[in-house]
Amino acid sequence: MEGVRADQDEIRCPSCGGQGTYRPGAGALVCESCGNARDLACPDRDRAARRETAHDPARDYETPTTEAQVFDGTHLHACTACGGQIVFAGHAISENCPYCNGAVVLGPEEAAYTTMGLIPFRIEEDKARLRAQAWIVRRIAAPSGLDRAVSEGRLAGLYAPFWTFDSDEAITYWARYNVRSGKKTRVRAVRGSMRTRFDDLLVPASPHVTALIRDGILHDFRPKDLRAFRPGYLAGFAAERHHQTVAEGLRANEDDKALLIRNRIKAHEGRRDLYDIGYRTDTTGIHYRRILLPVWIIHYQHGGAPYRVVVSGIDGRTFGERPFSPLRLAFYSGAITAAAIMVGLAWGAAGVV
Amino acid sequence: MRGTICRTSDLLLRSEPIGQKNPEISLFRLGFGDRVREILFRVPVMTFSTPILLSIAVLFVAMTAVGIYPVLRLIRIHEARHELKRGSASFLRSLAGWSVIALWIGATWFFATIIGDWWATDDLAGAVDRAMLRLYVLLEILAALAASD
Repeated sequence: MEGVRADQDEIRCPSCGGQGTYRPGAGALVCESCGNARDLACPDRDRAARRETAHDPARDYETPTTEAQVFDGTHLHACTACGGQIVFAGHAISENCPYCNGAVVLGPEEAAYTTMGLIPFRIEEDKARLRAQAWIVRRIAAPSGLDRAVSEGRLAGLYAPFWTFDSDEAITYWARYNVRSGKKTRVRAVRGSMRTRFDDLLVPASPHVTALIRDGILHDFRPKDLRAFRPGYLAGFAAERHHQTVAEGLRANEDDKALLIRNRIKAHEGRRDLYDIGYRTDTTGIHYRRILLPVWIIHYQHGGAPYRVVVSGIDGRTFGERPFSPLRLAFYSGAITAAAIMVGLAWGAAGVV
Repeated sequence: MRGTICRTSDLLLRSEPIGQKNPEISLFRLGFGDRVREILFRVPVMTFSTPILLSIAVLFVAMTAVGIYPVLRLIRIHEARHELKRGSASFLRSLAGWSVIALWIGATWFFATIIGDWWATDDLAGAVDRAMLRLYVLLEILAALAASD
């Protein structure tokens, strides 16, 4: 996080010295005292922020040299519940962890990797809460009163750390599928090879950012929206810094990537019923970015259990955790069961095989 | 409670003369509307015996209880299909396990077909025998669905 040490200077208003807060609606850093608004866009640096960095796994040991960790977190806070580490640009804006709503305490300063770019918040707090409420009322078989719980829940704006990874994969695969012939089932083997590419694959760069947050709300990541990191964008929000090495980031993505590759193998073979899929892949052309993406997280409780609804700070897309009402589930189950029984009765009475 | 068995031409219905119904085992006593329908449209009226009704009730209660988890899966899959990024890892994981829904609906339908056959023929043993071929076809379909799950 280049420049966080100088964040106070950037966040303070040049006119009156007041504290600034980034306002998504205005797209500018606005002084809380005099209302002076400053545009943080910087075309040359913003263009540079969209560039990707090449990574050669065979020369992984060189990465720390090219990407040194820096001590810059003057306001590092650690969550006492989930262990999440967050920073607040300027004054600490909350005493709760945006991830789990646990209490945060001032932690020791730790080194972190430089953030290459971020997409600033575009959705304001009020809109995010409305989106979350609209999402929760559309839930099927949800207990009543959830919209009130969400409207009273704690809302936190967070810049979550992500990777974008590009890679080219040369894949050799083998798998099996079954063929029915009369009463016999024959197992057929299939082998093949294919090339595929992952372009700007978003990978959470922290164990606190779940894949559901990524796949639930960050559907349309567009590199052209990236801006150069400036502490002013963080003013009024929390942020988690990048602590993972590139190798750790690639390892964290292995399970998801394996699932996607298996799915592409099925599509390549044109068979959804392939099983025992094995493959070898030669990965080249790895490029990455360390970025921060804006997320609103609402914490609410139902029946004593904590739940989260997340809203994309880019376009307001919403997803989250929700409880179910056992009674309503039983009602839907009864309705489907009744329909299946009616069809079955008719079928049996008609003497159809 | 014997009557002419209707097949595909008279789906769900028995061409039993209404006057021959046993009021002791008939769930729905014939009302004025039924008589009008019988006279005007020559449509016979359904009757259920107590054991058949009991079987349907037991099947309904049991499968409703069993169906709570599949309905939960169904809702989660519905939400995943509409809200998760298509083709993403979470999307693919959320869709896995949908065959449990087919298994539940298939099993409910299968047991109901036996009761339906029993109701139409008054022959439970025969209905179970005739259901074996249906069971074989159902298992084939479920196996194919499970393979692509």
